[in-house]
Amino acid sequence: MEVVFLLIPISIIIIFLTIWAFVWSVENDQFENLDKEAERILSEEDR
Amino acid sequence: MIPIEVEENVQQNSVGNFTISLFVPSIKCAACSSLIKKSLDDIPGINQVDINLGEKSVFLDFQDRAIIKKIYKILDRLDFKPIIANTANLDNPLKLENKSYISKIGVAGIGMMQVMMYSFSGYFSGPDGIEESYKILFRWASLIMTIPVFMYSASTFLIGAYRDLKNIHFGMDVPIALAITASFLLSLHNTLMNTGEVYYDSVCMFTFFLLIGRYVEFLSRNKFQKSKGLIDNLLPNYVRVSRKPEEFKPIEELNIGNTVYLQAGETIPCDGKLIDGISSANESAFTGEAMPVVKTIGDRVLAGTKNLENNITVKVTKDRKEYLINDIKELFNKSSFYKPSFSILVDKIAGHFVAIVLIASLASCLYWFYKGDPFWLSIGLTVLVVSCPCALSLATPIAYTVATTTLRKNGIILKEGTFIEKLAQIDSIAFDKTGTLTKGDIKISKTIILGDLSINKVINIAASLEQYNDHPVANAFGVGDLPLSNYQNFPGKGVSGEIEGVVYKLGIPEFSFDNNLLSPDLSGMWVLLASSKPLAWFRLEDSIKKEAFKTINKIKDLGFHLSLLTGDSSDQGKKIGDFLGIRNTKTNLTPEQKVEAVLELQSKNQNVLLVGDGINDIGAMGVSNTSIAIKPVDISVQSSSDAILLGGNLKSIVFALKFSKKVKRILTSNIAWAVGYNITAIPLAMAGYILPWMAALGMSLSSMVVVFNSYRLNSK
Repeated sequence: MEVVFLLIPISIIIIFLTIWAFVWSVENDQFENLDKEAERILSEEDR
Repeated sequence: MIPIEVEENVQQNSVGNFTISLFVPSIKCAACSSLIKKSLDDIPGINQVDINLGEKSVFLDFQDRAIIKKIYKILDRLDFKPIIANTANLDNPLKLENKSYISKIGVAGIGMMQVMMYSFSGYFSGPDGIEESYKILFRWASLIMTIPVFMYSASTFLIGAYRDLKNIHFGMDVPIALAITASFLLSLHNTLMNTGEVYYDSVCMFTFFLLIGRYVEFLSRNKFQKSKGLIDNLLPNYVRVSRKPEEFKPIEELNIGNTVYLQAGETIPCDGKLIDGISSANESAFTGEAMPVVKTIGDRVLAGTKNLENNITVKVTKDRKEYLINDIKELFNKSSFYKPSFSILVDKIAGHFVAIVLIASLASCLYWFYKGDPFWLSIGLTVLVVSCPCALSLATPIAYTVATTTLRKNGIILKEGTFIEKLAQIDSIAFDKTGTLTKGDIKISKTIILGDLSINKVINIAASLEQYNDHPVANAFGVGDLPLSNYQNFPGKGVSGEIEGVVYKLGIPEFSFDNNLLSPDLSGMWVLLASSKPLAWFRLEDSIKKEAFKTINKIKDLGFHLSLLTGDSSDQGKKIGDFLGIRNTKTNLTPEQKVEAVLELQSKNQNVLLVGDGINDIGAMGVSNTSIAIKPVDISVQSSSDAILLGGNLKSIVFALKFSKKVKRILTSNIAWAVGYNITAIPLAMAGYILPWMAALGMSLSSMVVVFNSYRLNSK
């Protein structure tokens, strides 16, 4: 079970990356207009 | 023609492109937005078209400043006329706050899940526990995961509590911050010293659930702030003051007496009188009346309503600050602060609440510590967290804000915050007749000449005498063109004034001449014009409002006692009372007698609602328990009533009567819930039956229950 001593720190690093990614996406307006993607199917052009 | 403000708000960004954010109120569905996007994408030189359906805004990025003209033209042609979105600026702090909430909740959520995973190893390790080295590892891992939650996510509460303590005020943030900080610091201490228990999972859970509660609260506040912002943005920034050549000036420079030219589809920028043209206006924002109202010369128009059909010319008659739209705005601000009397007690309790909770928490800590329970601290913290002053202090303001908005949608504006509360207790309603039950659209049905003046001359004199009078009777005579001096208005009697050197009186015969002169017959209402001798009789007729019969019957079905109080001396008042089935009809009342009539009703233990429209009702409005003024033109009537019925549609009164009961019900249930929750939850927590995570969830849910319960008032 000694591997836990390696895995837990790795999990912490991954979690901090996740937090960073989440905060980044909030800051970059990824949560601004949540309906946009659903409506996009109505527009005729592919963009 | 593109409005100047649209051109002015085009901004150049760092890459040299031009951007603008437009507010397009007519975007209703996804199809609208795709239509706009498609049409605008085709314009050469457009880089980006971004449409937010929820906010009805269009963000544009384009290469050349001149393109905005094309954009505007296309939007206009598609019937999506844009308004410049000052909201873009106004919204910014809110948007930032929104983002910060989402980030904080996200961080707390991720942290919470992770810390739970680490601590589960301890929970499920069986009776022997886990090996010491693993335990230390998981404690340190939990600590590392909790630091961002504590420092970042919980900062909302920590900063709030710090602010409260600095002002020596015990707000709701204090117990929360105390619970979070205490459990974090104690866990930190135990981790470093490798002793006792750790509570990292509680720290994260408290923060996560409480933040969600806060966020819901923020969103509901935000929603109403937005409708307030919408009112601000209803008025155009520039108004057309000359048609040929076309000239604009900023709305701030508009003064009483200025002339404004409007085209079809434009928003009327001022309260004023229509002096040229015929059109219709959509006043639904004010009156709840969906049908456009026809406006002809002489009619009053309101700032913020829309001129629908033709070009019109409007003269400004009021100072900017006195526009009706500003009353509505004021009301929005005021209503959220208003607290009805039966919740004042609750608020007093809430004021001491935090102190009580702190003591209760300390007491349970001590008790369980003395008893030797290892969870003494977590029980104490649970007491802190489970108590919910938020639900208590949210119970009334939220319900009232929603209620005021709903009433406004139905054409009723509150002047007095206590109106809804008082209305719920009404059991008797007294109506004025003219303008209230009748249309107030009075016509002269017969003229009898007594002196030697021509019929045109007497009507002209009468009209000139009435030119400053706002009573519906005044309109019957049309527009007079004789100069008037020494004008005096005797409410309930008539008016007097000097024209061409002669003093004239117009009104009931006792007033304008003497008591002995009898009116030609008893049908209809007769008024007499006289100088030193009687000059002419006018018979005035008014027609009853078409919804009056139905409305009165509905009100009767609801069990209210009805009276009709009118200053009208003719038998018409009686007739209308009989027609509508109002048994208690009193005619020929002076304003003083109206007051007495209301007092008489009150002496029979009745709470009286007075519905009136004129100066002669002011006194009665003062003594009645509450009052509604119907479409008042006179500022003094407006200020003495508790509420204003803008459309003049009586149906809204039925709505208000029922609605006030509903508001009261919801308020009572809100308070009952908040009090009940705390009375049950706190003792249970003190007894140690509530786990920390349940406490955090319970507290957030109890605030949400109050918010959602209040939203039930939002329906029509």
